[in-house]
Amino acid sequence: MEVRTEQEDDVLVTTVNGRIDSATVSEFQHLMERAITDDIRRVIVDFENLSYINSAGLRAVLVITKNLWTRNAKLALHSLQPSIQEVFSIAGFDKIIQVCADKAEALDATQEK
Amino acid sequence: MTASTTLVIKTAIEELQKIETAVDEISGAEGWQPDIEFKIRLVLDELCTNVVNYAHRDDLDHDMTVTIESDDDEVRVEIVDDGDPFNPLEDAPEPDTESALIDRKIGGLGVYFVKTLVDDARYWRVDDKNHVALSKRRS
Repeated sequence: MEVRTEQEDDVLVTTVNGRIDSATVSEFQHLMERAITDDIRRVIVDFENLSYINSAGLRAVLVITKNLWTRNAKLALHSLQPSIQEVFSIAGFDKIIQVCADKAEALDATQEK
Repeated sequence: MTASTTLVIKTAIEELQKIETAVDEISGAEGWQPDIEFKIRLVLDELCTNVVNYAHRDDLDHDMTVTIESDDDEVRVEIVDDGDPFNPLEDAPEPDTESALIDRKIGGLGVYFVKTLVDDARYWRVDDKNHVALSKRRS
Protein backbone atom coordinates (compact mmCIF):
# COMPACT_ATOMS: atom_id res chain seq x y z
CA MET A 1 0.00 0.00 0.00
CA GLU A 2 1.28 3.41 -0.96
CA VAL A 3 -0.18 6.86 -0.31
CA ARG A 4 1.07 9.74 -2.44
CA THR A 5 0.02 13.26 -1.55
CA GLU A 6 0.45 16.61 -3.19
CA GLN A 7 -0.83 19.92 -1.89
CA GLU A 8 -2.20 22.51 -4.32
CA ASP A 9 -3.17 25.60 -2.29
CA ASP A 10 -5.78 24.36 0.19
CA VAL A 11 -6.45 21.12 -1.75
CA LEU A 12 -4.77 17.84 -0.85
CA VAL A 13 -4.57 15.59 -3.90
CA THR A 14 -4.03 12.00 -2.80
CA THR A 15 -3.40 8.76 -4.67
CA VAL A 16 -3.68 5.37 -2.96
CA ASN A 17 -2.09 2.34 -4.59
CA GLY A 18 -2.40 -1.30 -3.52
CA ARG A 19 -4.51 -2.74 -0.74
CA ILE A 20 -6.15 -1.32 2.37
CA ASP A 21 -6.55 -4.34 4.62
CA SER A 22 -5.95 -5.32 8.23
CA ALA A 23 -2.19 -5.24 7.66
CA THR A 24 -2.07 -1.79 6.01
CA VAL A 25 -5.06 0.11 7.40
CA SER A 26 -3.22 1.77 10.31
CA GLU A 27 -0.55 3.06 7.98
CA PHE A 28 -3.16 4.33 5.53
CA GLN A 29 -4.99 6.24 8.25
CA HIS A 30 -1.76 7.59 9.71
CA LEU A 31 -0.41 8.82 6.36
CA MET A 32 -3.70 10.49 5.50
CA GLU A 33 -4.04 12.18 8.88
CA ARG A 34 -0.46 13.40 8.75
CA ALA A 35 -0.98 14.91 5.29
CA ILE A 36 -4.24 16.65 6.25
CA THR A 37 -2.78 19.72 7.89
CA ASP A 38 -4.90 22.53 9.33
CA ASP A 39 -4.76 24.61 6.15
CA ILE A 40 -6.33 21.84 4.01
CA ARG A 41 -9.95 22.57 3.06
CA ARG A 42 -10.49 19.91 0.39
CA VAL A 43 -9.19 16.34 0.06
CA ILE A 44 -9.35 14.45 -3.23
CA VAL A 45 -8.52 10.74 -3.12
CA ASP A 46 -7.73 8.78 -6.29
CA PHE A 47 -8.67 5.11 -5.73
CA GLU A 48 -8.09 3.97 -9.32
CA ASN A 49 -5.16 1.78 -8.29
CA LEU A 50 -6.72 0.63 -5.05
CA SER A 51 -7.13 -3.09 -5.65
CA TYR A 52 -8.70 -4.10 -2.34
CA ILE A 53 -10.41 -2.69 0.74
CA ASN A 54 -12.15 -4.47 3.63
CA SER A 55 -14.44 -3.29 6.42
CA ALA A 56 -11.45 -2.14 8.49
CA GLY A 57 -10.42 0.07 5.56
CA LEU A 58 -13.94 1.46 5.25
CA ARG A 59 -13.86 2.29 8.95
CA ALA A 60 -10.67 4.31 8.40
CA VAL A 61 -12.23 6.18 5.46
CA LEU A 62 -15.23 6.98 7.66
CA VAL A 63 -13.05 8.28 10.50
CA ILE A 64 -11.05 10.50 8.13
CA THR A 65 -14.23 11.85 6.54
CA LYS A 66 -15.83 12.58 9.92
CA ASN A 67 -12.72 14.39 11.13
CA LEU A 68 -12.72 16.57 8.02
CA TRP A 69 -16.42 17.29 8.40
CA THR A 70 -15.98 18.48 11.98
CA ARG A 71 -13.56 21.14 10.77
CA ASN A 72 -15.71 22.03 7.79
CA ALA A 73 -13.35 20.54 5.19
CA LYS A 74 -14.55 18.34 2.34
CA LEU A 75 -13.50 15.01 0.89
CA ALA A 76 -14.23 13.26 -2.39
CA LEU A 77 -13.08 9.87 -3.64
CA HIS A 78 -12.80 9.15 -7.34
CA SER A 79 -12.10 6.50 -9.98
CA LEU A 80 -13.10 3.51 -7.81
CA GLN A 81 -12.85 0.01 -9.29
CA PRO A 82 -16.35 -1.47 -9.83
CA SER A 83 -16.07 -4.04 -7.00
CA ILE A 84 -14.92 -1.35 -4.57
CA GLN A 85 -17.67 0.99 -5.69
CA GLU A 86 -20.16 -1.83 -5.02
CA VAL A 87 -18.80 -2.39 -1.50
CA PHE A 88 -19.09 1.35 -0.80
CA SER A 89 -22.74 1.31 -1.86
CA ILE A 90 -23.56 -1.85 0.12
CA ALA A 91 -22.12 -0.13 3.20
CA GLY A 92 -24.26 2.95 2.46
CA PHE A 93 -21.11 5.04 2.23
CA ASP A 94 -22.21 6.54 -1.08
CA LYS A 95 -24.86 8.49 0.89
CA ILE A 96 -22.33 10.16 3.22
CA ILE A 97 -19.12 10.32 1.18
CA GLN A 98 -18.72 11.95 -2.24
CA VAL A 99 -17.82 9.22 -4.75
CA CYS A 100 -16.97 10.68 -8.16
CA ALA A 101 -16.16 9.31 -11.60
CA ASP A 102 -12.89 11.20 -12.03
CA LYS A 103 -10.61 13.86 -10.58
CA ALA A 104 -12.33 16.77 -12.33
CA GLU A 105 -15.68 15.75 -10.86
CA ALA A 106 -14.12 15.29 -7.41
CA LEU A 107 -12.58 18.78 -7.55
CA ASP A 108 -15.92 20.20 -8.61
CA ALA A 109 -17.82 18.31 -5.88
CA THR A 110 -15.62 19.73 -3.14
CA GLN A 111 -15.75 23.31 -4.46
CA GLU A 112 -17.09 25.89 -1.99
CA LYS A 113 -20.57 26.60 -3.30
CA MET B 1 -12.57 -27.41 -14.42
CA THR B 2 -12.64 -28.02 -10.72
CA ALA B 3 -10.16 -27.16 -8.03
CA SER B 4 -10.12 -27.49 -4.30
CA THR B 5 -7.71 -26.40 -1.61
CA THR B 6 -7.77 -26.84 2.15
CA LEU B 7 -5.64 -24.77 4.53
CA VAL B 8 -5.11 -25.36 8.20
CA ILE B 9 -3.79 -22.14 9.73
CA LYS B 10 -3.22 -20.73 13.19
CA THR B 11 -5.68 -18.15 14.47
CA ALA B 12 -3.23 -15.26 14.05
CA ILE B 13 -3.51 -12.18 11.81
CA GLU B 14 -0.22 -12.88 10.06
CA GLU B 15 -1.54 -16.31 9.02
CA LEU B 16 -4.30 -14.73 6.90
CA GLN B 17 -1.72 -14.06 4.19
CA LYS B 18 -1.84 -17.80 3.46
CA ILE B 19 -5.51 -17.46 2.52
CA GLU B 20 -4.61 -14.58 0.19
CA THR B 21 -2.06 -16.77 -1.54
CA ALA B 22 -4.53 -19.65 -1.84
CA VAL B 23 -7.14 -17.32 -3.39
CA ASP B 24 -4.54 -16.02 -5.88
CA GLU B 25 -3.65 -19.55 -6.90
CA ILE B 26 -7.14 -21.01 -7.26
CA SER B 27 -8.41 -17.86 -8.99
CA GLY B 28 -5.58 -18.04 -11.50
CA ALA B 29 -6.03 -21.77 -12.10
CA GLU B 30 -9.82 -21.51 -12.47
CA GLY B 31 -9.92 -18.22 -14.38
CA TRP B 32 -12.17 -16.33 -11.95
CA GLN B 33 -13.43 -12.96 -13.08
CA PRO B 34 -11.84 -10.08 -11.08
CA ASP B 35 -15.19 -9.31 -9.44
CA ILE B 36 -15.59 -12.89 -8.14
CA GLU B 37 -12.02 -12.94 -6.92
CA PHE B 38 -12.50 -9.64 -5.07
CA LYS B 39 -15.69 -10.85 -3.37
CA ILE B 40 -14.35 -14.27 -2.35
CA ARG B 41 -11.24 -12.56 -0.99
CA LEU B 42 -13.38 -10.08 0.96
CA VAL B 43 -15.78 -12.60 2.53
CA LEU B 44 -12.91 -14.89 3.58
CA ASP B 45 -10.99 -11.92 5.00
CA GLU B 46 -13.95 -10.61 7.01
CA LEU B 47 -14.96 -13.98 8.49
CA CYS B 48 -11.44 -15.21 9.21
CA THR B 49 -10.40 -11.87 10.75
CA ASN B 50 -13.41 -12.15 13.08
CA VAL B 51 -12.40 -15.68 14.08
CA VAL B 52 -8.83 -14.56 14.79
CA ASN B 53 -9.94 -11.50 16.78
CA TYR B 54 -13.01 -12.73 18.63
CA ALA B 55 -13.55 -16.49 18.59
CA HIS B 56 -11.35 -17.48 21.52
CA ARG B 57 -11.17 -16.10 25.03
CA ASP B 58 -7.76 -17.64 25.74
CA ASP B 59 -4.42 -16.57 24.27
CA LEU B 60 -3.53 -20.00 22.94
CA ASP B 61 -2.84 -20.79 19.33
CA HIS B 62 -5.81 -22.52 17.78
CA ASP B 63 -6.14 -24.05 14.35
CA MET B 64 -8.79 -23.04 11.88
CA THR B 65 -9.56 -24.75 8.59
CA VAL B 66 -10.41 -22.96 5.37
CA THR B 67 -11.56 -24.85 2.30
CA ILE B 68 -12.01 -23.23 -1.12
CA GLU B 69 -13.62 -25.16 -3.98
CA SER B 70 -14.27 -23.93 -7.48
CA ASP B 71 -15.94 -25.41 -10.54
CA ASP B 72 -17.38 -23.91 -13.71
CA ASP B 73 -20.60 -22.87 -11.96
CA GLU B 74 -19.72 -21.69 -8.50
CA VAL B 75 -17.17 -21.09 -5.78
CA ARG B 76 -17.72 -22.63 -2.35
CA VAL B 77 -15.82 -21.84 0.82
CA GLU B 78 -16.05 -23.29 4.30
CA ILE B 79 -14.47 -21.98 7.49
CA VAL B 80 -14.23 -24.18 10.59
CA ASP B 81 -13.06 -22.94 14.00
CA ASP B 82 -13.10 -24.31 17.53
CA GLY B 83 -14.00 -21.00 19.18
CA ASP B 84 -17.01 -20.06 21.27
CA PRO B 85 -20.35 -20.90 19.65
CA PHE B 86 -21.06 -18.01 17.29
CA ASN B 87 -23.27 -17.83 14.24
CA PRO B 88 -22.08 -14.71 12.41
CA LEU B 89 -25.07 -14.89 10.07
CA GLU B 90 -27.49 -14.44 13.00
CA ASP B 91 -25.51 -13.12 15.96
CA ALA B 92 -23.49 -10.29 14.40
CA PRO B 93 -24.86 -6.76 14.94
CA GLU B 94 -26.80 -5.17 12.08
CA PRO B 95 -24.74 -2.44 10.44
CA ASP B 96 -25.78 1.20 10.31
CA THR B 97 -25.99 1.99 6.59
CA GLU B 98 -28.40 4.92 6.91
CA SER B 99 -27.36 7.52 9.49
CA ALA B 100 -25.91 10.87 8.53
CA LEU B 101 -22.12 11.07 8.41
CA ILE B 102 -21.54 12.39 11.90
CA ASP B 103 -23.89 9.85 13.53
CA ARG B 104 -22.77 6.91 11.43
CA LYS B 105 -21.74 3.96 13.56
CA ILE B 106 -19.23 1.46 12.30
CA GLY B 107 -19.49 -2.22 13.04
CA GLY B 108 -21.20 -5.25 11.57
CA LEU B 109 -20.17 -4.28 8.04
CA GLY B 110 -17.89 -7.27 7.49
CA VAL B 111 -20.59 -9.87 8.09
CA TYR B 112 -23.10 -7.73 6.21
CA PHE B 113 -20.80 -7.90 3.16
CA VAL B 114 -20.75 -11.67 3.51
CA LYS B 115 -24.55 -11.91 3.61
CA THR B 116 -24.94 -9.50 0.71
CA LEU B 117 -22.24 -10.77 -1.62
CA VAL B 118 -22.76 -14.55 -1.61
CA ASP B 119 -25.71 -16.55 -2.96
CA ASP B 120 -25.97 -18.98 -0.08
CA ALA B 121 -24.62 -18.89 3.48
CA ARG B 122 -25.07 -21.48 6.19
CA TYR B 123 -23.88 -21.98 9.72
CA TRP B 124 -23.83 -25.08 11.87
CA ARG B 125 -22.03 -26.28 14.96
CA VAL B 126 -20.89 -29.83 15.40
CA ASP B 127 -18.28 -31.43 17.69
CA ASP B 128 -17.72 -28.07 19.41
CA LYS B 129 -16.77 -26.40 16.14
CA ASN B 130 -18.35 -23.54 14.20
CA HIS B 131 -18.83 -24.15 10.49
CA VAL B 132 -19.68 -21.41 8.02
CA ALA B 133 -20.23 -22.47 4.41
CA LEU B 134 -20.76 -20.02 1.57
CA SER B 135 -21.36 -20.39 -2.12
CA LYS B 136 -21.27 -17.88 -4.91
CA ARG B 137 -22.27 -18.41 -8.53
CA ARG B 138 -19.64 -17.41 -11.06
CA SER B 139 -22.11 -15.72 -13.41
